[in-house]
Amino acid sequence: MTRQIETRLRALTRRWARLGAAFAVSPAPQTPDIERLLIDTARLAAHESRLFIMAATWLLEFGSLVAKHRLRALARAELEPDYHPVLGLMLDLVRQENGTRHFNEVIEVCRPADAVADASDDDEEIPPLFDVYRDRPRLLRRLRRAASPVSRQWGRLAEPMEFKPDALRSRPWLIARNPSLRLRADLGGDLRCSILLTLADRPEAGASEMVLARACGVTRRAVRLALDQLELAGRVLRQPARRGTTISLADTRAAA
Amino acid sequence: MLDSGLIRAALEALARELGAGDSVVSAATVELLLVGGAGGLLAGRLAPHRVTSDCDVMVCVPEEAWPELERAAGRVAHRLGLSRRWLNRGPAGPYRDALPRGWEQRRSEVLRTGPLVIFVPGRVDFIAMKALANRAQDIEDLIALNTTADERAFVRHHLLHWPHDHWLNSQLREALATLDELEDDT
Repeated sequence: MTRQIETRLRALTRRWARLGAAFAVSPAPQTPDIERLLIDTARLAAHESRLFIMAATWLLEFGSLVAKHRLRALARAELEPDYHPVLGLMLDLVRQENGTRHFNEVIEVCRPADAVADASDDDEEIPPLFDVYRDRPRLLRRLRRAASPVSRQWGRLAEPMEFKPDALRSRPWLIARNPSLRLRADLGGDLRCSILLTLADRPEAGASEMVLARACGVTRRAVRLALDQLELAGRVLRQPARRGTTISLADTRAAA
Repeated sequence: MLDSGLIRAALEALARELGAGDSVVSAATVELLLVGGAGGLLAGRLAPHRVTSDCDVMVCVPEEAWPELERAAGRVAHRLGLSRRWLNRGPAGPYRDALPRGWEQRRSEVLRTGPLVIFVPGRVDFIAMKALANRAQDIEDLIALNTTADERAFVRHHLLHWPHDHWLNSQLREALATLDELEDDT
């Protein structure tokens, strides 16, 4: 593992520690952007199995805080194809464990690795999820025997997942330490949540309903309906512009 | 969730709890062998990004002190906001056999507080347990430990002369294969 990867891993574990994962590092000073954290975790999880395990465990306990439309849009627009199977597998494991449908639309846009399509009767072509098995043929042979069916489907071999709920802080701790998550909890990670977070992250996405719909990866009609509710709640402002309507946060701190 | 500071604080609170009572334990010394993540963190063998949620106790001497320890640990959990199972005999139990002969001489004392004396296994014993557990995270730990050829030879000898017939041969073979891979890494 290179020094650069180690530095990135350390920064990532600090963000997870802020969200209550039991990494023995000092937590990040601010509440992380959860969807971007998941994207970054998918990129680095191969280097550190505990990162994957803790992220999946966090999603199992607190997955409804994730703005699913925004995660889907980020996965589609920013996540490199190599990491799609990692995110897809993580969300699928959570879905299998607790039956949630919250991530179905994100899972749909994650593409399994090409090796799955290429594999014939056996899975010799399917690479391991974690780097520790790469270039270690004896370990890889064992992994090929023990890998879970869902990991084969995603094209990243891994043994059955062992979630670690005891290694997470409690819900009251999480919210007390990260009060901005209350908004996510109130909205249950639905489209309204994605709209507010997208506007906080990229105010230019509020140039019109069409631009906002594109940024959230949904139809203009869906955005309009969600904006009606957000406007009624006093969370967004819609203002007539030369072409259509611009949208901005009523309180820029609310979605921070 | 525990880091090494909190593990120490919790064990010290446990010792105070035991010392306060009018009990068998308060009058005697109780030795605990901590394994797993907590043992590794206390010994300074594991990287700080290692997560651990509990203290796995593999050996408690005297054994009859355990029920009282467990009750006191429950009170500490409540006071410090820890998981109710922060001190447990969980997965460490079946792994007691995994300790190579002579582990008592190799263990290190990491904390002495009130009636409690806390030990962690020696490096080779820790390596043996990691090789037998053999999950992705255990292999990552083995790599991070930078095991020496002598240590691997010691553990290999232990596995090849395994005295416990209730363990699966496949588990032993796989642990040996992991050691072989570490050999090839060097």
